[in-house]
Amino acid sequence: MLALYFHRKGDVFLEKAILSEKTAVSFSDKFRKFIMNETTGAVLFAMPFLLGFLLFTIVPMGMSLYYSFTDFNILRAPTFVGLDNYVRMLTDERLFSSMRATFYFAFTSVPLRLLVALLVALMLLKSTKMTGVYRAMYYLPSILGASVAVAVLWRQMFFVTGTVNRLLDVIGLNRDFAWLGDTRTAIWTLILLAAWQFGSAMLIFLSSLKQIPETYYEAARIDGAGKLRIFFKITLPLLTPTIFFNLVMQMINGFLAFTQAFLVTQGGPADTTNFFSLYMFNHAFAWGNAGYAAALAWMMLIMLGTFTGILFLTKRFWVYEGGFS
Amino acid sequence: MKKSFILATLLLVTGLLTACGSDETNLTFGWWGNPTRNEQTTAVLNLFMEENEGVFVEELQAGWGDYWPMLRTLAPAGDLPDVIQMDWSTLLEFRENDLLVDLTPMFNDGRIRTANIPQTVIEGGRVGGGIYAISAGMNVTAMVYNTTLLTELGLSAPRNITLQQFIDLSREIYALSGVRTNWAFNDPANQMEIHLRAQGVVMLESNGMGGSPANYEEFFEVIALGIAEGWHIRSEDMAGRDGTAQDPLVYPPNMDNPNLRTWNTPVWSNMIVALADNAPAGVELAMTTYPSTNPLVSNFGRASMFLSITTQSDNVDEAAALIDFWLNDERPHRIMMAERGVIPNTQIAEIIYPSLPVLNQVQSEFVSWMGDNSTPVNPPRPEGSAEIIDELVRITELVALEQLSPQQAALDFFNFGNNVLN
Amino acid sequence: MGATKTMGKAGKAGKIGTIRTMKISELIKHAVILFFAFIMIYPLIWMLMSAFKESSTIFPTAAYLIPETWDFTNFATGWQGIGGRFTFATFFRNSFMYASLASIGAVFSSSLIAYSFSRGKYRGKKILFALTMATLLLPAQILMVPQYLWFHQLGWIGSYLPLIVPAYFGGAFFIFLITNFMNSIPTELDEAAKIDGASFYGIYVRIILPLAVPALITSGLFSFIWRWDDFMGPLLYVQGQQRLFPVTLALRFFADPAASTDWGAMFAMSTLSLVPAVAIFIFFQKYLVDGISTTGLKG
Repeated sequence: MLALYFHRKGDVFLEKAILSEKTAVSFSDKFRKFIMNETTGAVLFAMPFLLGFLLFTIVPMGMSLYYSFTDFNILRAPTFVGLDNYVRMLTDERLFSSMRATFYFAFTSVPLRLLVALLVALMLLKSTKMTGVYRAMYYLPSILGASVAVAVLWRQMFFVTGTVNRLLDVIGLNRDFAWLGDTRTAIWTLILLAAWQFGSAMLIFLSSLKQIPETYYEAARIDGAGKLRIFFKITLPLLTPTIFFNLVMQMINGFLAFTQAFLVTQGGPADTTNFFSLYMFNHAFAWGNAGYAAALAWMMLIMLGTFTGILFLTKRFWVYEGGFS
Repeated sequence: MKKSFILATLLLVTGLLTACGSDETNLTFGWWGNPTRNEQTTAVLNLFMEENEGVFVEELQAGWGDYWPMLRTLAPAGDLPDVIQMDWSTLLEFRENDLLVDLTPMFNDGRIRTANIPQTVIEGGRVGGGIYAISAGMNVTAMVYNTTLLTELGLSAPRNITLQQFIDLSREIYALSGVRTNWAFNDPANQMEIHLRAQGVVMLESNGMGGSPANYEEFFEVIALGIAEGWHIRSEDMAGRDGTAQDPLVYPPNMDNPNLRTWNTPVWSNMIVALADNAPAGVELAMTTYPSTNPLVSNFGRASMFLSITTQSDNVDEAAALIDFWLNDERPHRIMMAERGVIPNTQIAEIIYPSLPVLNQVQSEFVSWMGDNSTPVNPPRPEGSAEIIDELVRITELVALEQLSPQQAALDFFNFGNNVLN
Repeated sequence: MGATKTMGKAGKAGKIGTIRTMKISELIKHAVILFFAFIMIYPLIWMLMSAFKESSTIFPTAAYLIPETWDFTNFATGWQGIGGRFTFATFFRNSFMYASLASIGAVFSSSLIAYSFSRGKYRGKKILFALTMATLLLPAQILMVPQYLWFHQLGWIGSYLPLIVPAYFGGAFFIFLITNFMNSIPTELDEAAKIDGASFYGIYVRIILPLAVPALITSGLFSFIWRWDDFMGPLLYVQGQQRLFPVTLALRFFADPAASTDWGAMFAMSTLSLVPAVAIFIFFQKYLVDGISTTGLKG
């Protein structure tokens, strides 16, 4: 039966093909021409991005917008609750402490990292035979810092009887200080971990510094400017575009730090490192409040958007955009 | 060259995809654990597969903290294992979301034999009209302590120790040796539960928090008192530790500094074995009950290894066979050595215990003694408990850091819990 | 090494006194740089050395780097895995497969998109490019919950699909990097090829792609390192099946707060887990540095 069906279907197809041979050829010709067209090609090549953007960004975001208006524990079908999740945020005390921790982290770790990166880049600017080695040593933590291995290591280093305190023993300073347990220092172990990975930013600064034409400096020196003056009047302004760009990117990532807090401090002590992503993760996957978590994600998206927008608005006040010519 | 490259990619992809799908798997077993427990569990499962040809048991495992998010994320996809390790604190939530199978029919037709399992153990898995989990290991609340230290100081910790006795003892130990006390930092929810049971209150009821804020105050007061007087270990010094291995009762690097050391640790009875493994030579451990104003009422035991069959299982018979094997065959217990608590099967317990290491026997003796010195476990915790317990940990920390008064803490916690549960 | 060069420079100045002061200040500078560099990598050295210490001696002797006796057994015991049926051979293989497949996909598709952005002429290109850059500002964590719910709808939970498939639709960072690079390839080359009758596709395959290889390598290396380190992705999607565990999840087992811990084995495996990234760093440092320098973006 089935074979017959296929047979017949095939026959019909064949007949049709023969009948319309001429038109088919001209059609395939047209198609060929269309495909080989440069614009078609370019649009086709851009398709993966557009598709991916739709499938893996727009669709999930749309879904989460819906979920943010529901009570949803992932296990059961969601029930619509209107604005409840958003109203809940207004009185969520843990959300406030989470926000405080997140902002504190982003506003200290990122500037610190950029500052250290700039200082080291200036130190390594004059190239000697050792520069390659130094650069490699300073850059290495950036490559490895995001790993679970380093997070595990960090916890053991700052544990109350861990490496740092044993080292302080040697120089006679140890008071068995609880770095991870003290509400003032716990977050600083994470800030330090973030700042420790300044290598990438250092490389960016190094390459920007090398692009500054030597003639600028010579002109300044002829005018009798000192080293500091040259730095503040020439080097720094010319670096501001680089600084700006990295500030924006790294701030955003700083606001959403997750893995290191998840592994090193688990949000403690007393929520001082309970970063936003961690709090959202717990609501979604540990506490069965995926609806609330979706609302949190949206709130954060709006906040980040606003923040980035403000940063861009300040741009014209401090970012030099004249280029090098 | 380009073609062979694409071909290689395709092969890699299909390789990985087929690695995800599985054709020989018949059964999946999920549990939480650590490397030691994983090893033992694998050995038991291998034994089961030898006995049951054609059945392959797939493993699913995570540490305690990752285990529950894992199950919660697998459930909606219909990917729950056939047999899962359940916990008393999550049993109700999983049952209410229709994820667990009623085991009663299997008890009745003998697919899971229960002749040698005490009725009280079986009842422990009851939710409403059915039994949704059965215990393959029993635990009781237990405070493990350093007997070597107490003997040196000429002190002792009696069983059914009262709260006042405990505070006095802690003060004395601190005065004599500087060694501190751990009252509630391992699992504040457990200690709180004990504390409320003594007052006849259940902490997490399905429609809200039990009792009134006043019932919760004393728990926080003990912490505030201990911190103020110095005999309680500071919460700062407990941060970042790796579970049993770095418990200040046993972790060797902490032993040199009495400030970082405790004479006790409140845990479950099976953990004495792991604690002893990590203790430095010459430190002997023993156990007693949790301090309480009314120990005979507050003491309780519960399943340490609940086994459940999920509604997403396509192989209920094999799943039942696995549970039956675990309950009624002595070999799993020879492998696990009561690592997961005391063996509930009375016949097997009788055969095995004499051959087990001494600490397992101590444990077994303590658990059976508790049988006459305790009241039944509270009903399973309602949905939302996980969030409430996380909040309790934070509030406990705030009290210990002297950032929150005990009265305020009790009020905040009570209100928070009610908000979540309603 | 640095000193000889300094001497040469100072020699020009001609005065012996200056030679000496220059030399000393340069030496001090080198010493300071070296000292801080040592502090920078001290934690890593400490971990490496701890992997060779007997487990129980690691923290008591934490202040000393060199083990009293060199113990190699940590590597053997650690390699046995985290209990269960699989060893670190499986975990390393999984990490390698995941990182390779995702990176191949990301580089290949990003090169297509980059080519379209660099050479294509069509309406909406600028908007599309801006959109790409916007996704660069949209970090993964914001999408964590929504994407999870979506992949759950697709039935992809419990596999690597949610981690690998999206890579085949390009990555903003790589698109940016490769587009920049392609923009620097002179258009005279494609014009010449066009005259010879090459199509849009032909130019991509025969001219642009071969010339863009350095950018592709840079992208591939970064992608590989990030995927190798990825913890949150597998934590959400791979779900407890040891046979699918990447190294990061296996290490998490060692580090689980509820587990008793074999420190030596943990540090041994932690050290091993860093080997691929270190190897890439040693052998391909130039590509990484170029990638960071040309995009001006932190990797």
